[in-house]
Amino acid sequence: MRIAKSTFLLLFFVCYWSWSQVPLNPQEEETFINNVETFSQETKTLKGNFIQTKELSFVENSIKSNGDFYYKSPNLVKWEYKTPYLYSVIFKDGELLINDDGKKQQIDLSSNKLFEKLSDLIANSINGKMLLDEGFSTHFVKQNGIVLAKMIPKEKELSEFFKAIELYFNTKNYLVEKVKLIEKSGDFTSIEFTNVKHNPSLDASVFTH
Amino acid sequence: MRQFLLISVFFLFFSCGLPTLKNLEETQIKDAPQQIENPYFQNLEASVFKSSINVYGKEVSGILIIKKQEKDISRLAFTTEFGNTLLDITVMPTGYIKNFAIAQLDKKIILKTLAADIRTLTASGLKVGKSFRQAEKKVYLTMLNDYQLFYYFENGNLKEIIKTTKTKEKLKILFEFGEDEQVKLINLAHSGIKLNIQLTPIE
Repeated sequence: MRIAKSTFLLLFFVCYWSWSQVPLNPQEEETFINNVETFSQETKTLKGNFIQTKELSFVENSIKSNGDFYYKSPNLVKWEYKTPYLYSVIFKDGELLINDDGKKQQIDLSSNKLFEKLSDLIANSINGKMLLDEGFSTHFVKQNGIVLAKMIPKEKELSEFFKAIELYFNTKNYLVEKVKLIEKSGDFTSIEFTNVKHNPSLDASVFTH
Repeated sequence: MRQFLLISVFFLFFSCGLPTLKNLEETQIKDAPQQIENPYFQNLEASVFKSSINVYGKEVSGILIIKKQEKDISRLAFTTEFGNTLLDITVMPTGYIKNFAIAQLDKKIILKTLAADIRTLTASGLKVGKSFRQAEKKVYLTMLNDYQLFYYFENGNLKEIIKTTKTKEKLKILFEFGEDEQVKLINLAHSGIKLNIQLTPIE
């Protein structure tokens, strides 16, 4: 019985230690931001896969989709859903180029501030640049080999949408491993990046509509 | 007697005006159900659709999630493909509760129309009033609030719902099937306004 109790306590502390969140001190925070900025400047291209999960309070099962993403500095992004539907979006020169299973559409972002904000959000979250955006109040915590940046939007356009945006950084390579977009209701979308390649060569055709 | 005749003529006049009735032959159907169940929205599991909404030539696409919460209460959320919720409403038997709507969609006409469409799409347990035949199809007339709903069944599958007033068609809901006999597309087409909603079920 005593052994069972001590095992339980040990397990409890291991779990607590591995899941506990420790805030970065000001010096750590400054170093971390500088490192992300350097990484972001060194990043010319990125490509990888993503898994998107949408959680709604009134739906028991999460809604999942996945696909590939491509990024070319400074702000060219292709987001391509492959499952469960074919849908791709290219953020290019202030435009959204949509290919909805063969049906192509072009949206001028200057006429739609909301989509412009959302597009910036996606492009800048991939390479971590979002961290430098002054439109958010951000605080950092360390958690189990990652740094979590909890960002609260200041501007009304985004705060109408999101209560917080969380970026999960790998502390070894400064890649964003996960983005969590938390809505005012508490419902959220989580996007996990996998198989991410840093500065791969990308054919120009990737970004053609 | 005169009054009865007048009412009959009045009813006949307006009935004849309804295009839905033109190709229907009222008849007794032996195995007619007492009430209509929409087989695609019978249980309380959420249905997820890739959706395309076309309003007066402008197209908006996204993901539509519909979940029946009770027999006559449903909740729907419309999100972008990236998952951002644009609209979240609870459709009540005669109205709706807005849980969230972005400013661009927070218009009474939009919310009311969408709620009415989902109410029609998910309605169940409606008492069958009359039965008709149209070639191979069995057609049942029910009432939902002040509207007539005509349900068209073929080989046991619900193929179409037409919502009408006494004189006009308001909404046609078509169910298209794939080779595996599963619903591949639900098309909601309005008659009075240029609004068309296409729903493609996704897992």
